[in-house]
Amino acid sequence: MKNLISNKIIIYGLMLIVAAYILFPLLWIFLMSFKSKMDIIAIPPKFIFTPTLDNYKALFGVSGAETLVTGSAFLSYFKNSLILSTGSVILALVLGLPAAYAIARFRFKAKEPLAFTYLSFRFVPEITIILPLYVIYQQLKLYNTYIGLILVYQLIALPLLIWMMRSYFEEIPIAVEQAAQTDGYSWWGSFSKLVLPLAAPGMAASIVLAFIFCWNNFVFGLMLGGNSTQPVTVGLLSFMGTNEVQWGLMAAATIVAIIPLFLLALAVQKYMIRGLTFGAVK
Amino acid sequence: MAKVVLENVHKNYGAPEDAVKGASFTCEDGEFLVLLGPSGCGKTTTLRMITGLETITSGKIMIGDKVVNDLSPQERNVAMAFETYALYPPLTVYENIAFPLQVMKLSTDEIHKRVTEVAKNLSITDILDKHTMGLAGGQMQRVSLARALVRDPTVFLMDEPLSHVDADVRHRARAEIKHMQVVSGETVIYVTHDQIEAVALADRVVVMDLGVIQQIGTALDLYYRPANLFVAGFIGEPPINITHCELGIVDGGLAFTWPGNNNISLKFDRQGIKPETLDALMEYENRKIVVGIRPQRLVLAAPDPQDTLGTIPGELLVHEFLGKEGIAQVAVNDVTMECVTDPDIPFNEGDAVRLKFSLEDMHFFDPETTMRIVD
Repeated sequence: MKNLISNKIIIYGLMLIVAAYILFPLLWIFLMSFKSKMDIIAIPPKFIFTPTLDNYKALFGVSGAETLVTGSAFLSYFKNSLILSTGSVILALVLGLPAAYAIARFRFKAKEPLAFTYLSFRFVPEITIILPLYVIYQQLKLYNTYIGLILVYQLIALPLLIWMMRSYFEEIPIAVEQAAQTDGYSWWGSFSKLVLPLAAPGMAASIVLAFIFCWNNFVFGLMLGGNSTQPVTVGLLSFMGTNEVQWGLMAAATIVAIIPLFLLALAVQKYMIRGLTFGAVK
Repeated sequence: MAKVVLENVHKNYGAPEDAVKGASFTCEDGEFLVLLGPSGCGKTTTLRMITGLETITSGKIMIGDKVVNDLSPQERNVAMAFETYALYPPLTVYENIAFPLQVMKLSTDEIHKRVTEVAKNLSITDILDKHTMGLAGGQMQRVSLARALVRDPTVFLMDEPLSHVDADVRHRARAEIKHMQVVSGETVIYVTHDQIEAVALADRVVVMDLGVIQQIGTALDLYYRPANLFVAGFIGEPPINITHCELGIVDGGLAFTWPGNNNISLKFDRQGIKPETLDALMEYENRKIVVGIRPQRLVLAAPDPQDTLGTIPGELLVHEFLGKEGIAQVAVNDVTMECVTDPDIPFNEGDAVRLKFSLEDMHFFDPETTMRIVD
């Protein structure tokens, strides 16, 4: 018995250390968003300080303080992120759900190579393709357009959706659909009444995960988006001015920017692990 | 209710060999037909071609008088009970059974009436509002049957429905299925690998192996007149004794020599042999012939030097006590034979014994073609 307890302590201890390591940057930013300018740049770094809401007030233009990024600008970045992430996920669903179903259900020669090709989109670092993409986008006049960004975001959302939904579809025994067929239901009847309800939680998790990954994207937004389409990830850069960096505002803006993601992730945390390790066991 | 006819049906999955080769049979209206065979013999594939879940590579399938080759499962009006039950997970038992009726656009009242009636017949009224996830195997199997029954289909197809049911419940479930078919008069085509199940349920059995139909007949046909070695060995428990003997004909009498070092022959005198039998066996004189005899037809007896006809000596290896009977393993030359005996026998292991045969109970097969030698 003694062994088990001490084992547990070691394991939890290690988990705490790892968690602390991972969460520290987030915690630091969170604290920073409530610090005054002097506290932020204090050395040694301050963990105990008097919190202030000045940063948040300035961010939303309430306090009247001067900011490198106006409140309305920040909100427009936020709006862009929303439009881009939502639009990308919707397009990825329309394209990806049928693909996932086909890969899950049908037998055809190029099945695994095709599925792996979709997955491989995620392997390529965005930087390697960004230059040719930039040129193409300029020529096609897709630069600084929502459509252009939503299209390129498919490289992020599609593989995720296809692979996750594939595994959720595969979990539903095909005999269920065949039984419905034999009972007189068309394919769509059995799909909508049986398959979709069963796959719904999986779908919710896939959608949230795809949304989060799209939201977090930086390179595409930076290089292919312009003033009117920049997502919040790029918009935060503007807090770095030529003369000064508005750390506190940046921190506050960051925290506000990740609130939607945080809430969504909380809602589907049970299913997250599966989505993040897809492709590992096949 | 209708009859089902298969004419020279082939199924190929892209391999050099067909999975089903030239299957032809008729299931009459109201008949309980069983497709029997070992794993991989093509019986499930054949059933699924009748349902429409597999395409037909060549040949014709007719349900009623309609050729159904190009019809989808939805259009064929057949009901199927799956091996894995394939119940609808998001729905309750009631909704599962009602599901096929809803697509038929029946009124809610009519649906309710039919569902409750079927539930009563299958004794599942008490679980109607439960979800299918938490049910026991036997209950799930009944829901699967109810769902198929409620439709009043043309043909009722069942794919090994009892293979996942617990052994102690299987007996009863089997009897329930038979009872249901007798009462309703449905046409049923049933797939199984269990020959006891087949023999208990079927009006007629279609025995298959490696995609080829071996024999079609009643249980009695298969048991007493197996068409080839495969059928002889597959039907009957304990399985038939098969020996490769050498046949000699002396003075119009038969002598079957058992393989092995000692010279052991089973002899029959001319008087006890029917002329047809002699004619049929004539061409195997001085050649190998395959002899089959069921353990139930062998008699274990004490050695008797006086009695030389229809008997061979052997050594008792093992005797198993099985309650109402026993099974003895007897070594005769190089061959071990099984014989059903009384529960208690006056012999010990290692004793010399003899086995008594009667010619009418013996089956003969050609060693090359494995086909039955007709007499």
